[in-house]
Amino acid sequence: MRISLTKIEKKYGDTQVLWPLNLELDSKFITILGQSGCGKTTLLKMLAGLEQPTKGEIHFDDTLIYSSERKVNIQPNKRNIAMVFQDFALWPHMTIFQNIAFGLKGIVPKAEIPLRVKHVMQLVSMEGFEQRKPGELSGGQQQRVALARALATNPKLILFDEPLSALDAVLREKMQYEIMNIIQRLDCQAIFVTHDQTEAMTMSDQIIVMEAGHIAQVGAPQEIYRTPATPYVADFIGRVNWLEQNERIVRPEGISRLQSQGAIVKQAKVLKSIFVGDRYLIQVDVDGKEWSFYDTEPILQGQQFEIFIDEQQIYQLEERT
Amino acid sequence: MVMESKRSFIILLAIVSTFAIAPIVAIVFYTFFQDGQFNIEQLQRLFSQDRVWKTLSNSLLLGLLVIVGTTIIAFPMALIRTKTSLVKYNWLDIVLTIPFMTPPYIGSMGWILFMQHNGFLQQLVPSATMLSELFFTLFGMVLIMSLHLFPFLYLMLKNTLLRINGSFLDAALIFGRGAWRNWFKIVLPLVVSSYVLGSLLIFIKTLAEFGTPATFGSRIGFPVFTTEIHSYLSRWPVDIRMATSLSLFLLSACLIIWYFQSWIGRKYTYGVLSGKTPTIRAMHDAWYVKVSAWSYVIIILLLSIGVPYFSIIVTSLQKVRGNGLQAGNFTFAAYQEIFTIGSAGFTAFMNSFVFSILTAIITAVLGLCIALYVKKGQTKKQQLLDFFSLTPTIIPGIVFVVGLIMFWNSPLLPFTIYNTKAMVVVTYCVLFLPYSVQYTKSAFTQLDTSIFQSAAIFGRNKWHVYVHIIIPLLMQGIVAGMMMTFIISMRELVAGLLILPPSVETGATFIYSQFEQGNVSVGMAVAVMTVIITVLFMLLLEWMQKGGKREDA
Repeated sequence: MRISLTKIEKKYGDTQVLWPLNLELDSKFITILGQSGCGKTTLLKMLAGLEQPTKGEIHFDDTLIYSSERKVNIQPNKRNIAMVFQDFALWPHMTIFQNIAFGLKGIVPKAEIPLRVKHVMQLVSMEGFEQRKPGELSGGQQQRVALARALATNPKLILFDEPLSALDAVLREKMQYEIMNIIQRLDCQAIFVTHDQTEAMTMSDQIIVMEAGHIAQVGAPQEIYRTPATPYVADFIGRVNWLEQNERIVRPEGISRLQSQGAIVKQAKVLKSIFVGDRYLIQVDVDGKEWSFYDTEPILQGQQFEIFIDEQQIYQLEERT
Repeated sequence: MVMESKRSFIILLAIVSTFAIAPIVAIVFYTFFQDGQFNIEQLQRLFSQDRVWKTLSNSLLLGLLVIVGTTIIAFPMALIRTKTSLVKYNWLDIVLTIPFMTPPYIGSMGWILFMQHNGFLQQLVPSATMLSELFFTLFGMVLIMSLHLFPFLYLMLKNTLLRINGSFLDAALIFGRGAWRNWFKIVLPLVVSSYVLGSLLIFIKTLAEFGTPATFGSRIGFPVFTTEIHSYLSRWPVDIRMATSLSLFLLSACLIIWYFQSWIGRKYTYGVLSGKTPTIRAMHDAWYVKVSAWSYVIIILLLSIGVPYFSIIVTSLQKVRGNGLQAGNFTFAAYQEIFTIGSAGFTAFMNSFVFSILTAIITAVLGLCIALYVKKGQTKKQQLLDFFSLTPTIIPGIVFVVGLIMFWNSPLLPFTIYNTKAMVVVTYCVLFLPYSVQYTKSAFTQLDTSIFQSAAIFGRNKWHVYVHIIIPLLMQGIVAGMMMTFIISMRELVAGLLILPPSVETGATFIYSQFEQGNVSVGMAVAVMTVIITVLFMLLLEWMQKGGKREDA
């Protein structure tokens, strides 16, 4: 499905939460990445129909979903979407079965509802919990049920509003893979809001980086890492070494202590060596700027040596107009 | 720490039980024992009287009707304040608590002055005689009490609706099939438990209420528990045993409801709190929604504040009441009188003032000690003390007053404070200790445990930690509790009527006696002073709490 947003903007009173933006999204797994308050959740809720854009149009393929001019606003439950919330939002007075079945009424024949519930509970490996209430489940289990509820209606698009931020690190990583696997297996797309760049990098085919109500860059994870559109994106995603501030960058992998053909030579003085598991991150002082690169061995603080920068890995940021 | 020792537990328990538990024991004793012998004759006498059954059915009927009345007022109000553009006017909540903070007897007096024969309504609209007749019935009493109690239910409902407004409703919008189904399957079930809790508390409060039944109920001949207990103790022939057994009856009724209430609370309250706090979305109402919402709010405010306040203020300013609303019939004479040092009104008002300040100080100290001991109520001992200190919220004030009278008249005591001013302060302290405990405790629970841990590490000794860290952090809660205690002590009526030593009056008893037989203008002038102080303190409390929040952020 192609999701297109045309001149969408959002104001709360006089504050501009989202500046006018145009987007064409067709990847399977899309992430909206940004710091808190950048407008990423607002963007997601506008796709869900929970917020109304102040201006603009939204299309799902050729279907008009929202238009401020033509006064079209398809209700959330008619958009053929589902959503997984940050706090799970499972209705506490209903059993898990009732929570999932709630959205199925009128979509699936009554007799098939138990089958469908069973099917999605299997997908998220939660069989047998149907008669419990949400309060009796752990955070991770509630998360799975919330996902099952979203899958049950066979939506074309599932929206995730920072669904993993309430979970601990181990569980979070596990759920990342499960969500990815499930989405890959099914015929639907996902839009995933997060402030965690590693989460965005590992999970998505397409990333939208947002900064203060603007879209900073849209692209595949590799594209965003290698060719960041703005200094903000360069700094926000991964580690970055600035050759000239806000102009030219090289990532740590582009730097080595081994001499190579056509490399730029710089003098470096070691500030610190940090063990990052499989290798060492060496922080050095280069021309008064703090840089970093990777090495297999730690290097003593204060040591001075030459480093070689692979010219092909230097990226020149485009001038901002 | 200091308040954890066994000794402090015993001291605190001793204080609390002498003042809060002993009176209840005294009531049970006086009801069941005669001349030192167990005797259930009294109960047989109680149940054989038609008057008692009439009182019971009156009380229960009143309680049920007031639940209906408060629901009719509070539910639309809660919807208006959460679902329409009025959601942003937070000052409305402060204004809406004014009726609840207004002493109920002053509210009823205002209504009586407004509706009675030749009252303000008939002076303004002479053809409204019919309304007066309709008003001086059970309907009027339910209306007055509902207008007094609705803010309580309204705030409970509003807070629940606000909390489920977040992702619970968003999820319903996405997965649901229609607005009505969402409303019945998601919103109502989540609201219903807090509604039931709120309405049961309204029921208890109605049963315990004395002011309105005493002023309005006596006019329409509608006796309830509280007024019957009062009349057995104050009217000839005095029948103490009837008063204690009626008190016990009322106490049991309240305890049963309270038990039922906490059972529902445990069983059916969901963690609606887990719902993410909703971002307030800009709302655009159709014009008719806006107009009807505002009209509703204005009508309720007119009825709950406008009418009673208008009546008491105008009455306090009138020269001759019979001359009605005319230019030239206004004077400050009543105020001159009550501000004359030595006048009856002035003395009564000052008595209230002194009693209330003493009560506020004593309960603050006791409340602080109890809160420091109870902490978050994890051990059995802590829960026991917590429960005892909060019993006065469940038990109607008049029951406690009767119990205290019985207790302090017991021949076993070596000395008694009965018939002294100290008795008044002790009674107030028992009645209002829960406020102080609750305010201090809630300030306490807001403190993170890391504060105590860091204090334990960096503090030089226990007292140092208390004086420099914990008490300053709790100060806002303590002061709020003191102000609340002061406000409600200033207006306490039934305790004053029953236990004041001869020829001593408080503001409340002065207002009551002047209204019943005396100079109504002077009585209303004292009433106006009381409500002015109440509203001022309320605004101050509100301002303090806002300021506190900003500091925390």
